[in-house]
Amino acid sequence: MTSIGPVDPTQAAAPLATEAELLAEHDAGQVYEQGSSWRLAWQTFRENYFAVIGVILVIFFVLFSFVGPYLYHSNQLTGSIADANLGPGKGHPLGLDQNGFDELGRIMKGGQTALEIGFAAAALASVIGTLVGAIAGLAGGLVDALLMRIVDVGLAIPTLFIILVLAVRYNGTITAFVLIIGINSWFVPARLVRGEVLSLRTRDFVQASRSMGATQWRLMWRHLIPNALGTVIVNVTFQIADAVLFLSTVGYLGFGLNPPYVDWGDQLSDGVTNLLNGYWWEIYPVGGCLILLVLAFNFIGDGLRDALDVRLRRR
Amino acid sequence: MTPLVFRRSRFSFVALAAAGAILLAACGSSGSSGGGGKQAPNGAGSTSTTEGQYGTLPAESSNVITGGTVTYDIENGSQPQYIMPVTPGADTSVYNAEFQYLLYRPLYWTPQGNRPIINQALSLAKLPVYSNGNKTLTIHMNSQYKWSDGKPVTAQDVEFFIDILRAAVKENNANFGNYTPGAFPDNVVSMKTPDPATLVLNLDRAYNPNWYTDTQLVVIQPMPSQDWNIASTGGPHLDPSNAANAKKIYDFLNSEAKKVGTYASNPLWKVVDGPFKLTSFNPTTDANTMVPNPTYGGPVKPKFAELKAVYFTSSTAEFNALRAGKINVGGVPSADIPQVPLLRRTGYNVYGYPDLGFSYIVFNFKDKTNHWNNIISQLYVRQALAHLEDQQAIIKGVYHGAAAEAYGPVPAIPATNYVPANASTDPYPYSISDATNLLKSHGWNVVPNGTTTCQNPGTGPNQCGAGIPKGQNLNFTVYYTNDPPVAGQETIALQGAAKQIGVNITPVAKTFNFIIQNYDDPSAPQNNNKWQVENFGGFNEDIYPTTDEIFNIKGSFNEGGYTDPKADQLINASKFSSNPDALKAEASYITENLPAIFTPNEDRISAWKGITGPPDSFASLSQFGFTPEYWQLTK
Repeated sequence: MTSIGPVDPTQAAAPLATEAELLAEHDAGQVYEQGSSWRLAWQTFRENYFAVIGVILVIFFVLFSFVGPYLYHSNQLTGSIADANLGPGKGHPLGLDQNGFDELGRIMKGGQTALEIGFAAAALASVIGTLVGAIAGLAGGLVDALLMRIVDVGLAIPTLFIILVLAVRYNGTITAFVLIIGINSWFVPARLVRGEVLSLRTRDFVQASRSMGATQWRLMWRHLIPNALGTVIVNVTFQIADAVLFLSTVGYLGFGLNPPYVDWGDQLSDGVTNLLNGYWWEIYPVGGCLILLVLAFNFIGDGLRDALDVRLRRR
Repeated sequence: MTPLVFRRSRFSFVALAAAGAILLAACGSSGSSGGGGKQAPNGAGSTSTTEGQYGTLPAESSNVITGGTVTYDIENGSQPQYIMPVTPGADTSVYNAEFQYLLYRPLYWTPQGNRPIINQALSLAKLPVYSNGNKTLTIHMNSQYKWSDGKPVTAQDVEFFIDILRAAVKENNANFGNYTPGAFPDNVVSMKTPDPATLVLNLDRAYNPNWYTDTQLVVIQPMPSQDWNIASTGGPHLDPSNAANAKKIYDFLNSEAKKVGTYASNPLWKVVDGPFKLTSFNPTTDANTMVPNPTYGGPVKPKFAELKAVYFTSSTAEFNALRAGKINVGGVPSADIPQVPLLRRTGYNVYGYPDLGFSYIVFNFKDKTNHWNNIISQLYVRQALAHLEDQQAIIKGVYHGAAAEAYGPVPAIPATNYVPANASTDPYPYSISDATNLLKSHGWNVVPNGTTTCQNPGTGPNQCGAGIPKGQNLNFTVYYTNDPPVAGQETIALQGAAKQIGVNITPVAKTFNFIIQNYDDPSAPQNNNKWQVENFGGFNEDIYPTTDEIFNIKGSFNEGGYTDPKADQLINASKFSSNPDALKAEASYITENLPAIFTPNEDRISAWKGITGPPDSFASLSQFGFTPEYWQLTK
């Protein structure tokens, strides 16, 4: 079947449907395409060197953070406070931090929390944002106006301010930060998805589906959200980068995760305190990791945007 | 009188003006200086170091010049705010006192070198003589002190201060920062001046002479009664012993003192008895300049031409100025201690010593959550937790050596006359095995790196204790201030040690203000069940360091609701009995009984270059004693 309209990517890799399923689903002009659009996207993505570097970096940090501690053993439960700020040397290639913990092992632990919180908060924000955006775009009218005013208010309040207030009020656990960052980051994806839905809902295949009696719910789940996924996926990568930065910022300001959890922002804060004292190992390695991880997700986001948006493809 | 202020670091949140120490006075006897016979800063250099000391004190140089300008630092948040000695609470701080004392000397000067005791040579009066069962005291003024208009500093000037102080606190308690209802001057029933050099105070009851002198009399700053007894500029001179007149005088002086921009020009503030006179004052930054007061009657008169206080927006900016060699004298923040070698290379001398006070990790005895109140009320549990603190490691790793071990509310360093025997040797030294044995011997199943639980509940000697059920764990949360980093470092070190005996500590960072406003049993009882342990810093103390208000049952600073009848009894004795050793007994009991885990006492470090003086004049900087009149610029 030739693709003549927007592709429904959820159907791309679907197994062969039974006749009954086909009858049930063929209520509108859904178009089947044998994955060529995804293949084209992947081809475009892998031709973007920065995007590939981003993927390699993310894989590196995942392995470094989660597999690294099994290969490089360090005591992250009991620091040697008497040796606080010890410089790099035998047994401690990146020295000790101001609490007497091995700095390299500390960065690995910090990487774990950065990735866990980054992915989870981005997922949460994207789910909420996608749902709200889709409902607003599809429903229109009062519902749209109400939801978008909520988004306006949310975007008008500095996220950092909200996160700081909540971080002071509540104790810093991983779950708390996922919720705090996620719940305060869905405004942008909501607006993006709403924009997509406003455009999609006037397309022929949606009109056709509607004319064949599809419910709003079905339109949203079967046609609109799947077709807006490209935008969502691109946004997720930026959301991850933002979440990692938020966590680091809050940690830097002294309201990050509670020990024994570690966050890179808290490490950076300690490092800055001691920068003039010459303890370079407490700032540059962790600072470098933070920059590279955020950069990696931004590269991936850019690559995905280029790959998934047909207007930005080179061919 | 509340001699206490929170401290979270050496250079912030310390307040309270004076401090005195001393004495050993029985009925009818005179107090004697706790500092021995030597009263003035001496010229001997000190290159040796003692425990707790950071850096050395160089000998006084003879390679000096006359004249010139000496510069020192004032930082944002620690500027002088108020010139009149009856200082409101909002403006009371050691920094304001440093400024005022250059112009208006206190009746009793402290410290003497690095010892927080009364320095008689710099005091305006001799030590008081107590009589009538410690209900009456007589103060004899030193005759050599004069106001800058040539009049002597008399007993009437002390009486004038007390009259104006009474009027001030009658209007509002907050009009005097060192005021506590019922304490000075409320506890003075009557006073008389049989001659211009003698003041007799009759008190409402018998007090411990040490307590009275070192906490009550040290706040007195005589004021020029013949010049300031007016209610308007150029107005008639009023009798301040009349309460209505005193109120008018106070209102006038207070209104003039609020005009910060006129400090250097107002004729009122030109009459001083201190070693300097104010010549300029920036009302925005409080940067100021002073010149020597030629009529100053103290033992040493200034020999340089100008003393300049230079304003900095932060301790970082101040330290950068030190690094650049732009000021003669400045403080060294503890976080910058590793850069001291750099300062030394640029010619600075550096010296630090702990000031009088204590830092502690506070237990909340009122939190009933998870049976915490029952657990922490067991002395053996507190002892086990105290064994987990490695003070030597903390001093080395956290303070870079610039601190002294401290095991109770009265530390061995700096030395006072009230140091108990158990302040010199850690009664609960760092020992994981001792902590383990204490728990095991009281029915706990200790699981290193796991979770220790009570296996033998009950009230017997080998059992967990009253109200602790079987299976109860020993886990708790410690709220610590996120600035300065030291509180976090101490807490995380404790967490690591506790893990080794199966006690799981959850450290949670909060702001200093959040902790003292929310996790404080006396002022925030609604949160009594919301915290187990906190680490916000500690207190700076008067030179008579009783824990009245901190560890007695009704103490307004009894953060954790510690309740112990014996402690109350000992604290009362420190305040009211005639026993000169009462405070030692109090401190000894508190040290043993562990209402908190006491942590090392940090050094207060200063750096100076281009000036010289008697070593004690620099050592006293560690105790907030600022005596620049002893300094001279070097060639």
